[in-house]
Amino acid sequence: MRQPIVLHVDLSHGTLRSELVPKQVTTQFLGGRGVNAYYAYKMIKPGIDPLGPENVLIVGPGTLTGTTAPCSGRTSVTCKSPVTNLYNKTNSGGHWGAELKYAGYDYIIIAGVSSHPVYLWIDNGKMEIRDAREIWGSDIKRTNQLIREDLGDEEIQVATIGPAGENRVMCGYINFSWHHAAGRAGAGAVMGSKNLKAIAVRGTGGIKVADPINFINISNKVRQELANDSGTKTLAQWGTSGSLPVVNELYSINNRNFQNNYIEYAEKLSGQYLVEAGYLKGRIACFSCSTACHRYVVNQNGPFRGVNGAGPEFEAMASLGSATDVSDTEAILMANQICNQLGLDVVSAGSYVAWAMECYEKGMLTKEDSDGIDLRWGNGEALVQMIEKIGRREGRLGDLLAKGIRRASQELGGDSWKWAVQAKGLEQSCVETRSAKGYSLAFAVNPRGPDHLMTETFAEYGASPEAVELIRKITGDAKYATPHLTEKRAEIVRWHEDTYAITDALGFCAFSSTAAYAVNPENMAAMYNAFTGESLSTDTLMEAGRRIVTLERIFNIREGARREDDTLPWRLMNEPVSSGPRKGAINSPEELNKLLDQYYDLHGWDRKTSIPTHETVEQLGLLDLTKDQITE
Amino acid sequence: MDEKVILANPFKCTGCRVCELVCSFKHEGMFVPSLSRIRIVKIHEMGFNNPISCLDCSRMPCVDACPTGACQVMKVDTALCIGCRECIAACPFGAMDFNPTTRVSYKCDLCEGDPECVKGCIPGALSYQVGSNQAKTKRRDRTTIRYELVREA
Amino acid sequence: MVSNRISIDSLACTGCKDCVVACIEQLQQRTQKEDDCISSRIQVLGTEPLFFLTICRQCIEAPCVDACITGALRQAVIGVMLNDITCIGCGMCTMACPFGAIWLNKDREKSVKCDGCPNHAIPPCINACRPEALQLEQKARIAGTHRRRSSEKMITIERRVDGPETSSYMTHGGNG
Repeated sequence: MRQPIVLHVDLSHGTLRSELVPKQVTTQFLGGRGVNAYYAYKMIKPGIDPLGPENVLIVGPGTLTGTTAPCSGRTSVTCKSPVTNLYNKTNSGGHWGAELKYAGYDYIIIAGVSSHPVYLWIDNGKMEIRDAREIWGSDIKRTNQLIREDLGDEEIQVATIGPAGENRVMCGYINFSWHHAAGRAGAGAVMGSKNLKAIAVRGTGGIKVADPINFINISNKVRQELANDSGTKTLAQWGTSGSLPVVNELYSINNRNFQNNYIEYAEKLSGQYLVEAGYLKGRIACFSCSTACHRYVVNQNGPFRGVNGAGPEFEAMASLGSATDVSDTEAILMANQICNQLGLDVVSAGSYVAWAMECYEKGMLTKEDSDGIDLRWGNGEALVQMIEKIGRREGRLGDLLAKGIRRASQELGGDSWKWAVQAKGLEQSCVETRSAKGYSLAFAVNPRGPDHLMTETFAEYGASPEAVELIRKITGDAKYATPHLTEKRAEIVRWHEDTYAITDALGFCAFSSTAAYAVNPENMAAMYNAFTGESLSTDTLMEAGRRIVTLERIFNIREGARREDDTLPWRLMNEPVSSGPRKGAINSPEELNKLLDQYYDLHGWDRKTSIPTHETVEQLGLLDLTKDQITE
Repeated sequence: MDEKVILANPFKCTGCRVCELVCSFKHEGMFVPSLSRIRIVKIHEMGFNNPISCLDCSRMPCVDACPTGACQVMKVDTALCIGCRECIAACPFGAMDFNPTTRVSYKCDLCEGDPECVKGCIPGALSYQVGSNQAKTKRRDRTTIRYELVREA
Repeated sequence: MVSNRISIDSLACTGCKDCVVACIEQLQQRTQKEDDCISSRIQVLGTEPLFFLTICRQCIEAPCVDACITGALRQAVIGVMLNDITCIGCGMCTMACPFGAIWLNKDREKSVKCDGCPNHAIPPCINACRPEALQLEQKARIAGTHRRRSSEKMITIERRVDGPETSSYMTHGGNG
């Protein structure tokens, strides 16, 4: 294993420079998300404009990306978010990260703003900033085709933004290798603000492993374990949306912008229905993943014909479907396809439309605002039209929504902020937190907002024997594997946080480490050790995860975020669950405060401000990095 | 000739490229998909993944093209290969490629009868089967049809 | 730098010899004088209806380089290069080449082989070839191009054989 190389790109001056990542940094932060966080902390000065030249965009595949380690193809993107004005890490699968490793680089740090649209071309250690004026404005599919034509190579991998990112739409995403996206909190808008259209990579090099025989044996063993896991099997068979009916039966789905939590038409939004109705044409896998949960769908009939591309995930189905009350599967497929072509994060885009629909229902918005689109609940055509308008920033409403719902509700005024289901500025993903207390704590303390992809305490549902066993391991008693309890949530959340951090740092997929349990910390440590030749214990690895989480917290502290920012959307804290067995459940401020106290105490952070104490920082070895910058 | 062959079903392939990784690990000792004997072609526009390894054609254009006799059935004799890359140009499937470090062509050698790629393929797109004569004939026919159509292009 | 390796498709060749003329013309331009002793670096052999094009294949472990006694033939990054000054015209290389793609210019007593015209983006012989029997081959990308082309063909065939409706995950793939 070689020492990772970071490529510094300064778009303002058009310069490229590469350097080794210091050994100490890789030991402390492992790689991927961790090293990204280190560079973000060092390079992003507090208080800067996220869409200005001072912001940097850091792209880094995980340490084990490019090897046979199962489900290890993920890439982390880190920047300061224009949506929350805080730390943002977002994560994508696909084949791009592995290709970057084969090209001889491990991290790309993009600073400055180019004077005209450009794209970056990395060909086996040769780098070039190329003109993208001809490509600017094209959708994701066309961009991929144009870049392949321009470079005359079919086997390159492209990370690109769509028109949404170019237009600085707050939910613009970065698309990786056609079908995968680093979606949340506006990474695409940051890339667009730098006038950077795409990063094309081609690599024919290889990755050497310190202990090859051991490494391949462990990874083969874990791959088999993963293949035999029941959760993985369901995921492979029905995709992420296969679990939608189950979530619906738990009365935990977002319907009509979190007003209801149960839908009658759940089976029409399920992965099973995609198969039955014949939309599903194939499965797509990320690099080195044997699960292949991503879908490929085609629909050539009905008013929404012309769908041919990556299929909707759970979040897409819930956000574009049940959140807006649209039950027409074909309309959702179409809306999903438009999101994928324009480069919109489906979770946020669906939330925007759901918020607009509620405003329309309550008379805050009229047909005049929406250019004649009838934004009543369940109108599939309106959903499709509105998504297109947001992505292209057309019309008054399209432009308003493109600013994100926090800003939109501030501009619209009235009570509209109450049903803007956001915290820290980011729209909540379609998971119910009122009836799951671990989720509510995890969402509240998440550095980028209420979102399930930084920490998802899936195990607290106790849905499988493995999950119950995990909860028993963390808390010492299996009885805590119930989501309604508030006890021991801090422990559960912290374990998941640490695990998510190392999962992202090493490049693994969260599905393999916290939804299925084959890629557990022990296995991750074994693979990391075989890869690097070091001998870290599982605890050291988990501590590295905690170090990453703490550094991310300090980043936000430096930006001015305090305990009062660790909160949940207003609606979830003030309006109880309306139906189902957990009717009346709510995230009350008292309850959240109790959970936060537990959590800060466990972490060794100050209860009043949520600033990590001097001892905690010292213990984690972050003192040198952060000493000048935090004052209590 | 060995009766067992690697059969690829492109409709089962998810494009995870584990086969490329384990193949290159076995033959090159590191993870380098560009030197793998089996390659996945991704046609993203159609969501189609096609595993391509040596199909062991009956007409063998690569063997015909080789001036030194280095390119043989499921094997390249590295001592004889002069690196003219005629075999690569001749193979209509692109199943052969060139290793710029060792400076010889390579193709699938079935891992001495125990292909790593098949063992690593969890979606079950690859299988290593004792081709009954019928199956082999069928496969050959199919290959020939494909070969002719590719030549037409 | 990538060598200008020229791929040949003898089946497409019509035997017009425009490539030979183009090759000689550009060699004359290079030497800046009318020289009767210039020999083309590409040869068209055979008769109607079958022709064979012969041109250097730019081997990586080239036998001609091994055979060269004076070191005039050299393995460079851009292909096999011949130094015209040190060549003594011994003819060893012509015997070593399995393609017969290197030959002696009897008048000048020097070997003759294609150098891929490194000064040209596209060598003149390719520009001159109307039936497209000669093509520029991007080194190391050949296999990739073939893979892509054959896969695209394969989709069309599968659709033709099975019909577009059934060529899907459910009929072929199942649930893994």
